[in-house]
Amino acid sequence: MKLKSKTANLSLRLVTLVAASLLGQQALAAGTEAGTTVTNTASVDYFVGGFDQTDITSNTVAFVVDRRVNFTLVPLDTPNLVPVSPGGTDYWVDFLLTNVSNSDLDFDLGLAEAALGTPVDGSGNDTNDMGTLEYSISGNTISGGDPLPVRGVNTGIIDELGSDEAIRIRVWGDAALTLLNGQIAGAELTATAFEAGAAGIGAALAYGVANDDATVQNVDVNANNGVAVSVDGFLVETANLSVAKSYSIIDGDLGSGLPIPGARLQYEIVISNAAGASDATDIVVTDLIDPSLTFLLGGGAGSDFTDIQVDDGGGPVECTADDPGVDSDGCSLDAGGNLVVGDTALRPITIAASGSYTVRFQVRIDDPATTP
Amino acid sequence: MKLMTGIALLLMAFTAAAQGHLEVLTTVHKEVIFENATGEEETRLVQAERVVPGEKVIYTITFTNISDESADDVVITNPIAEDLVYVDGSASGADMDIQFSTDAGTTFAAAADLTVTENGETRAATVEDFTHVRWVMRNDLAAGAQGTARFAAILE
Repeated sequence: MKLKSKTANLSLRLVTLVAASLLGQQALAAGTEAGTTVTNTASVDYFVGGFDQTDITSNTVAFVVDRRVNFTLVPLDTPNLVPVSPGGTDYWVDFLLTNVSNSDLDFDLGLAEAALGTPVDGSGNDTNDMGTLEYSISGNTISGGDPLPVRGVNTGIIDELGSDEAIRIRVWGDAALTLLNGQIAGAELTATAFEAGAAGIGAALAYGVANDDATVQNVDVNANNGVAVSVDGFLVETANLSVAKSYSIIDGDLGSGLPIPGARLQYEIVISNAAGASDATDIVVTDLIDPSLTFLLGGGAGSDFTDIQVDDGGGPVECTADDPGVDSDGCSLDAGGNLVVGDTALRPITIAASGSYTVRFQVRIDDPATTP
Repeated sequence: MKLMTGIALLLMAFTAAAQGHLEVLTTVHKEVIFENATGEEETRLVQAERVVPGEKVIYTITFTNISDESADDVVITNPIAEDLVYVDGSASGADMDIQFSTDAGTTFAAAADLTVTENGETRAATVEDFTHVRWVMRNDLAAGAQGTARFAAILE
């Protein structure tokens, strides 16, 4: 009965819709399957001279339901560029391919770096290439459980995507070391529909052929020749550091204002992170003290600090130039003259955007006449 | 096999059935909207050769009294295919009462009078419930006279 059939069909569609809505997508019912023959025959009952006559049936007209090629390829979590760091690997963005045609379809996929200037996922335009891109496909459809794609697995075609079914495609990216903070790297994914049926990719779909009510023809609903293109991408978020070293003469210059032997100098190293950049973490500052200089432990007479002064923006803090590992303040000076400030384990240094970190210490220029 | 069936159906489509006193011809078309020479949209009926879900098809039943005698109590019945949904108000026929069935053609009534019982509850029938459409002629079909019945349906 017509009513029962439709009730069952409605339940099936509701399940599909619920599955799709979990991903924030809306699937459309695909409709009568392509290839279905729809027939019609009328009959006429009548009387002549008061006598009921044998019913007359008309000719039968029929048409074959054609294939409405209709599918969508969209980024999931739009708009949402994935933050990446230069040199990082295994970043990913997901796309959802949904077949709302009234027949199963095969799909061939293509992937490329988006061209410069291409809009990326409504979040900006492409400004650089990621470096390495590849895709992998979920092992099943959304309604089939949607196991998450694994890199290097299912990297070929989509063989038989059912009507009203959707599948997840994950595009993996490794970020080139040359990427700069704020750059956008787009990934352009292309899906081309083919006829389903046999194992592997099916025959190409022909469009615009002569009408024929006895064969299944293809109607290109989206006027794209069965090819959909979608772009999502990655946003480079990295620190943008600069370092400046300067000195000032404290005393011993004999009034010359010049860094002559015997003069006491105060060095200042300032590391800055540009506005809008990401936090720079685990910073370690290393400075090799020139052999012609003597590091002034205790800072020297009149100094407002002892060995080393550091300032992360919250005010100057003392730090000791002792042997490495003696204490946990992150500062050390070894026998080779290597001054180190910062310890990723004991005293990690982080500089936020627009922030800076300052290191100060004092030295005396050795006098060759008195230095052995 | 499917192709042969299609060809056979095509041949039948162009052949009116003539049995007894009447000849009955059914045709199927679909509506196409196009832009005419003055830039206005016009709707035309074309052969239903390329049909996809969501499109509307129009069935036309033409019946002719090919005998010398008048036919009376003429009733034309047309099932609505499983994949089609009747378009509300589309059935037409001059001097005919139009009725519908929701029980596979067992009983008929005017659309407004039809009900459906589901899970013990009775509600008004909708176009999705219609399984058949029927035209009941109010007058005799005179010898040589011709009548036309028509309805539209959407392919699901």
